[in-house]
Amino acid sequence: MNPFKFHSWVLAAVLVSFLAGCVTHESRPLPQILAKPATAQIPESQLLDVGVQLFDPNIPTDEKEREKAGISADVRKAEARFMPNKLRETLESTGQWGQVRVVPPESDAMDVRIAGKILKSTGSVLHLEITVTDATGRQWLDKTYQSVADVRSYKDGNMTPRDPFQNVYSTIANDILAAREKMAAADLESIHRVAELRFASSLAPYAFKDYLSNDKQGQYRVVRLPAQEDPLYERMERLRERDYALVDTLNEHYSVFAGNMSESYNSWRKYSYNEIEAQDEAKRTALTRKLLGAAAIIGGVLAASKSSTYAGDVIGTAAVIGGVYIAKSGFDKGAEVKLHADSLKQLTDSFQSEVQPMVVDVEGRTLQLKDSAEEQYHEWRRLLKELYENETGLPVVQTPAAAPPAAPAAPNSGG
Amino acid sequence: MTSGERRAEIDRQLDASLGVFDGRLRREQEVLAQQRGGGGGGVGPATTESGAGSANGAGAQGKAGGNAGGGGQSGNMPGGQGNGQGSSSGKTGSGQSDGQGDSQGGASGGQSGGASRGAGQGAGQSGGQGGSMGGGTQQGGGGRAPSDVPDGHDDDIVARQIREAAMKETDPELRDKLWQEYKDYKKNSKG
Repeated sequence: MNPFKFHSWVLAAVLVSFLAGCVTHESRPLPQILAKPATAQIPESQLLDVGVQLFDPNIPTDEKEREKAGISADVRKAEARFMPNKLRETLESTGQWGQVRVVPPESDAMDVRIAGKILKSTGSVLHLEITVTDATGRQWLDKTYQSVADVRSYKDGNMTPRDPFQNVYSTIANDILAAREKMAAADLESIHRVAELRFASSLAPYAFKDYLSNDKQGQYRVVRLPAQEDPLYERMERLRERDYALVDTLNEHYSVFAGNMSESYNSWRKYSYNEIEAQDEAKRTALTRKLLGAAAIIGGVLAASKSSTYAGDVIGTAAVIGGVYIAKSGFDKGAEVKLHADSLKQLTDSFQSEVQPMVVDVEGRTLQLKDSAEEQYHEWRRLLKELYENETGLPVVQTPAAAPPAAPAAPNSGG
Repeated sequence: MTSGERRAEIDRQLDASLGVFDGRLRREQEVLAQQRGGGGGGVGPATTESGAGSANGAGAQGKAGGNAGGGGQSGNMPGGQGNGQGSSSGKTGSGQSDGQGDSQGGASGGQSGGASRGAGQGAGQSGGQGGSMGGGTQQGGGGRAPSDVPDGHDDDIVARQIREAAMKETDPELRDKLWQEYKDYKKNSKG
């Protein structure tokens, strides 16, 4: 046998053994992205209120698809409430905005509305689709964000860990800010006025719909403003305060919910991150060992048969035995993959059983609150109509498709 | 009733309605304040069961229960992991081989090219047979599998590699050794 070829096989077998034991994968801490804080006071007329809608949990209806993607419906529902809260905290922390509130999905009460969809969420990665529009209907942003987890957040002993995906929330906040900074002061002031008039129009369209117009792009514009002493508009401002109070209360529910699930959610993400990383690592190692083991077996057989010396036979046989051993260790690693998958499922089941009642609870409470508020809004619409008729002497012709006010308008929402 | 009296009457009704609304929100805020205040106390003595059991309850208890569940969860996680490791060992074979399907395909493709070249040099008869190693039981550069060799339908990735090497081998002595290694490996892997 060609001695070079023979030695190549032996060398390969040794290398295989070495590589099979040394395949590693290391995650590193990410550079931290910070949300840009305000450096100067923003005029109140330009200070926009932001509503972060509950995210779309994006749960596949097909159970097999859910299983394949490792999605737990209850965990996703919880995340659809938790993540908007993180984004709210991030936006609030910058001082760049007025009130920032988490609101039900159908709510358009605020000056700026953020909608999100969870594309992928594990302890290891987060993919979000974010859309931002303002009260005039102008779209600010429509973008997909993705990041791997910052492993520093999973370190033991970190008492107040930064969210492992805080970079995503900070980047979203900075992008929204960049969009706002491109706009003229007059546009920002207009957004606030349009939001107020849209609210008024939703409760008393017969009195306020003519104050707004829609342009070709479907964007609202202020045509004229109500008189300061307009009795209907005076009362409307009182109702607007209540609407804000309702939004505040709903926001508080979501905030309490996020606080409640935070500790166990962080634990779940941390342990599931470990399992996902270990599973990926085991997959890579298992495949490598199997392929290299097979190569060593074949090489050993070839080397032994071509060798004309006893030593060559021994080395060839040793390579075969070593190859079998390496291949076997590859299958043992393969068993580890399954084991990590099982552990991951158990972790998710455990967290799901804990968070599911919390989701039911917050859904029930917010739904009850919105139902109750909707009754009040119905009465306010009736009283405003009577007031309008009394003031103008004109009968109101009811239009069937009056847009309802923001937060309490859709009692069937998932809030 | 005059217009002014009518307006006053409407305002009175509106004030009453706003009062009802304010009262409702105030009660809600009180509940939320209790939940925020009482939540911390629920963490200590908690178990996972208490979290689940209290969740459908109303008011502050639901919150305390939820937090309690959080405390239980932290302790429960590593336990769950341990159980998973213990219970899942020994039944990994089928799951793993399914998971490796793509990789095997890639490896086979690489080997297939080698088979065609080897066949051309050796027996000069393989022609388009190079791609047939996936089935593995008919033609290759070195000939067909011996009759005492099991068919390769349940080969794992290692067995398949050895089988392919044997199929390609043109040296009869070496081919026999590879087939023997293949049979030994199959026998041991089943055991």
